[in-house]
This record gives sequence, structure tokens and C-alpha cells, in this order.
Amino acid sequence: MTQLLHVQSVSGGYNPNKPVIKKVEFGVERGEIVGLIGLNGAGKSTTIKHILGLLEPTDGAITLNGKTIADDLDTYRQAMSFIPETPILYDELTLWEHLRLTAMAYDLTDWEERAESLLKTYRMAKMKHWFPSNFSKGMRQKVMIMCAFLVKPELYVVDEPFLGLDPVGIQSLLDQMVEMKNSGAGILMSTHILTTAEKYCDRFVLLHHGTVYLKGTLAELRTQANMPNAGLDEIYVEMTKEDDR
Amino acid sequence: MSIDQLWQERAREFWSVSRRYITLMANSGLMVAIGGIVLIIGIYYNSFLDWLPSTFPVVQVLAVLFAFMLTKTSVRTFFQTGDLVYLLPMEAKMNHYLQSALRYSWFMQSIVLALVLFLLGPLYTDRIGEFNQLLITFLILIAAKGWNVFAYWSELRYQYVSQQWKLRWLRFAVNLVFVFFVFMLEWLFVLAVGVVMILLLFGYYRPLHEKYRLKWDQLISLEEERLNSFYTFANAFVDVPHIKARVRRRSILSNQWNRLVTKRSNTYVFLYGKTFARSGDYFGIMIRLAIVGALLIYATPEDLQGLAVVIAILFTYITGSQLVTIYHHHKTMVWPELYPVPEQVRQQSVQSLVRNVMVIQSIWFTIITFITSWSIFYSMIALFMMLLMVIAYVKVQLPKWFKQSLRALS
Repeated sequence: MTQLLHVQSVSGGYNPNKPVIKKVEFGVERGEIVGLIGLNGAGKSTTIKHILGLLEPTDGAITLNGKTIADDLDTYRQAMSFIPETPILYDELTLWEHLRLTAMAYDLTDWEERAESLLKTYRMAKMKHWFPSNFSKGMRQKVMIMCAFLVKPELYVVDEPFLGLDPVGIQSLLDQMVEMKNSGAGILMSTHILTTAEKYCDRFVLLHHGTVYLKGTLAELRTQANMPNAGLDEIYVEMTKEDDR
Repeated sequence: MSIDQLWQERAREFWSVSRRYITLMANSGLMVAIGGIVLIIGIYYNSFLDWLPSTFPVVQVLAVLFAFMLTKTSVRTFFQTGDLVYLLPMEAKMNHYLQSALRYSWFMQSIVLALVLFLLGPLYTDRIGEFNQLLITFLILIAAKGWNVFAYWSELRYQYVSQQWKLRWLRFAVNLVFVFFVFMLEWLFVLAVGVVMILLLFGYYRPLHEKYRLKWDQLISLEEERLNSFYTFANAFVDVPHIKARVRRRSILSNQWNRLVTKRSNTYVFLYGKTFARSGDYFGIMIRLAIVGALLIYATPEDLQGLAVVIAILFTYITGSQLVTIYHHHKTMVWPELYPVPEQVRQQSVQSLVRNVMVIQSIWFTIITFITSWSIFYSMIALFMMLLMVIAYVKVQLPKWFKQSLRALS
């Protein structure tokens, strides 16, 4: 069976002469959560944009189930959903209509029951027919999360999802990620909340200045950084110190 | 800059921006619209006065109208969001600033009162009283406006909007009685009510200022609303970049798209349908064009029916060409790029929306030609030509337009 997501030596960015990411290489298997860790400006968002197919790599390739986006655009898109760092909502649609539009776009069947239970999980049932202009940042983020989980894709691409979420929201999100992982989905999550990442991610990719600095399980990171017993945050801080010298 | 100059500074800033917008608006149809309205009023006024039956309750209608205008008051504070941080500590020193705001609001709203009274002048001298009495009425109304501005400003000290509304209804009642006596020419009663109003001013409204502090949050959002409504108005004539069309629920219209089957091919029919129904731009423009086109067709002389056919076709065409920009409405959204829905499906959805709206507009204009008692022959010709144009536009012009916009994007 081919790897779910494979980022093969990808270079790219907004200017061909100044690539933001250089020869980035990692993968996401089915049934695992991979943490994408790095400082502001390390290239996390650019990497994610390449995976989503919003940018085209100047070098290398990205395959999902062994196929690039050029092979089959719509199959590629169908297989993943995205939770953005800043919630992006249609001003013209109510919460329920966001879910319904998602169901249409991904051709979902039997979605209504699942949508209702998501509304309950995230305590948004009361706001079903509200417009986004009445939502707080956390509520908007919840709409994004619900839309992503409604699709139930093979791959989740999650960009810094915890900001602005209330504790119930954070716990529900983590529980749901674990549930999806156990049912065979792969999850790529970029975050700065390292204690959470350490607890929930199976493997890590540490990006620095657009290159993969370290990658592997926590144990592997410890060996590579030569810091036995260190936590993810300590390795992370050590990594940025390197830079100051 | 001292706090006393701040208000003047802000008023000047506002007017320099507004002046630019007003100039732009004047260049793009506002003057034509105002001129048209004045012309129509001028032509029909006398025949309107003759037609108006003598039993028509002029006094009562004017009383309600002016009571409403007096009660509906605003105060331009020119407060900005940042003031919550920077002006809040100065609250005690803001008397001068706020007096300027009150004076300005009184002046501006008096101009509106004067304009309306001037328009109704002929009606007044025809049915109610002498010109001198009209002048006295004018002065009294200005004074009453001043009272209302101060009273309204005091109401705003209450924290709860529901309290404010109670007082507003009360104020409306006082204004109604007052204005009624003014138009009945019962000057003694006017004086009596006036004394009550002055007593209220000092006995009730004034003490509110001692008792409660300014409600900054409310004042700032009121000010934002007022600015927004100006820009929204300007937006009808010129493109105001930072104005975001307000979204309205419009259940009856937007629910029509709820009947769609939840399947992939309907994705953009649903999205663009809801956008059309709820975003102020599209449905509003369609309605405006429908009304203006209908008026023009209705007003076209009988021997120029050919011209009216051209007008009908032209307005249907404009409806389509305005609506098609809905294709770009969600261009800052990442979602349409991520959906596993072919671009072709998206274009087809826009095409069918544009077609349907244009057909509805064609039928509407045809109905107008019937009402205008055209010969059936001409009405059918008009309908046929409009539908022909719609087909040509949707089938030939639009695909080219999509190609061009896609090329412009990449």
C-alpha cells in the first residue's frame, strides 16, 4: 500500500529565486498524527499551501495515495480537508448552510445526522441558523472544524487549530482527531502548543528556515538532538538557540 | 492639539473625505437622479394639489411626518474605536467637544427640516395658513429640533437600549401633540406644550447627565453605523472600496435555494443563489434596475415604442452584466479552490443564475409594456428580442468573459 501523503523533496514559495521551503521531505501514514513544528516564518504555512495544491512546487512532487494533483485534481481534493489557522467563512451563509455546502461539494450522503451530532459535540446547536457575523473567533473556528470532520476524508491538514477555542472545543477536537486516526485517517497538524503536540502526535517534523531540521518520533528526535529525556519544547528551544550562534 | 480642537479637526477630516465622494457621486448619476426628482415634483405639484381632495387630513399627516422627523435624531460625535482607549480618560474634560457635536447635529438636521418644509410650502399655504405663519412654524420647528437633539443625547446616557426606546416613544408623543398644535395654528397651546418641554429639559433630561456617564461603546457603534450608512448610500453611485455589503437574511427569497438536492453539481447553485439573495449588491441592483427600467418604459411616449423596446433590452442587459460579477464575489475565499468540484460546474452555475435573473427581468418588463397598454404585437416583439439577447449573452458572451477573467487571475 502506498504512503497516504508523501512530500518528496519539495522546494517552492512565492519567488522561484528565493524558495521559502527547500527540499522538504516527509510523509504521513494512514492512522497517524504528524506534528509540523517550527518558528514563525519557518515555512509551515508554505508547506501546507503546497500540500493543498494552492502553490506549485518549483522542484519535487507531492503525492496523495501515490498520485499528484496534476494526475487527478478532483480525486486529490476529495481525499483531504483543511482547517485553516484563521477561520474563513462565507458571510452570506448560516452555520447550517456551511455544513450543507460542504456536504454538496464533497458529495456526502447521510450527512445530516452527522452534522447534527457535530453541532452537539461543539455546543453550537443553538447557533444553527446564525450568520458568521454573530460568531466569536472560537465559534468561527468550530465551524471550520465541523466542516472538516463532516467530510471524513483520508487526510486532514490542520493549521494551528487551538487558538481561540474554549477548553471544551479543544478537548472535542483532540478526541475527534484520535477517533479519526484510529479509523485509519492521517492527520498533519501544525501547532505551537508543544505540550499538546507531544501528547497527541505520533511523529514530528521540525522545520527551520525552510528545511526539515529533525524528524521522527519523540525518541528519535531525542537521539538526533542528543538530548535524552528532553521534552519536545526543550528540543525546540535548543534548536532555535543553534540559530543565534 | 487640545481636546477642544479635536472635534473641529475630525469634522474637517470627515467633510474632506465626503466632499470627494460627493463630487464623484455628482459625476456619476446623483445629480441626474436629484434633477429628475425635482423636475417630476415641479411638473406634478400643482396638479397634485388640485387632485388632493379637500377632505384629506393635511394637518394630521404633516403632524405625524414632522413629529417623526423631530424624534428621529442623531448626534455626530465623530467618535472612533480608538477613543475607548485615548479619550476615555478625558471624559470629564469633553464638554466643549460634545457641545460642538450637539450644535453641529442641530444645524445639519435643521437643514433637512427646512428642505422638507420648503417642499411642503405650497401645500401649507394652500390648505393651512399664511406665508408668515409658515415662517413662524419654521422657526418653532428649528427650536423643537434643538430640544430633541438635547433630549436624545440625554437618552443615550441610559445603558439599556430598551429604556432608550421607551423614552423615544414618549418623546414622539410629546412632539406629535406639539406639532399638531403648530399646524392647527393654536399658538396658545403651542406655548403651553413648549413650557412643558422646557421644564422637562431642565427637570428630567439635564439631571441625567449628572447621574450617568457616557456610554462609549454605544456611541462608537452608533457613529460607525452612521458612517456606514453614508458609505452605503455613496456605494450606490460610486465604488467605495472598504464598504462590505451588508448581509440580510431575506428568508422568503433565500429559502428558495433550500429545495436543492444535496449533491455535488448543486454546490455553486446553492452558494451563488444564497449570495445573490442575501448580499446587498446583487438583488438590490436587480430591483433598482427593474424599477428604473419600468418607469422609463412607462414614461416613453406612445409613438416611440421602438425606443421603449431598446430601453427594455438595454436594462435587461445591464442586469445581467452587473450580476455576472458575482463570479468574483468569493475570490478571497480559499474554499472554492479546495472543493473537489470542477471549475466548469462553477461557471455553469453562474451562467444559469444570470440567465434566470435576466429572464425574470424580461418578463417583468413585458408585463410593464402590457400595463402601458401597448399593442400585444409590440409587447411580444419586445419579449422575443429580450430573450434573444439573453441567449446570446449567456451562451456567447459569458464563456468569453470567464476565459478573460481566468486569464487575468493567473
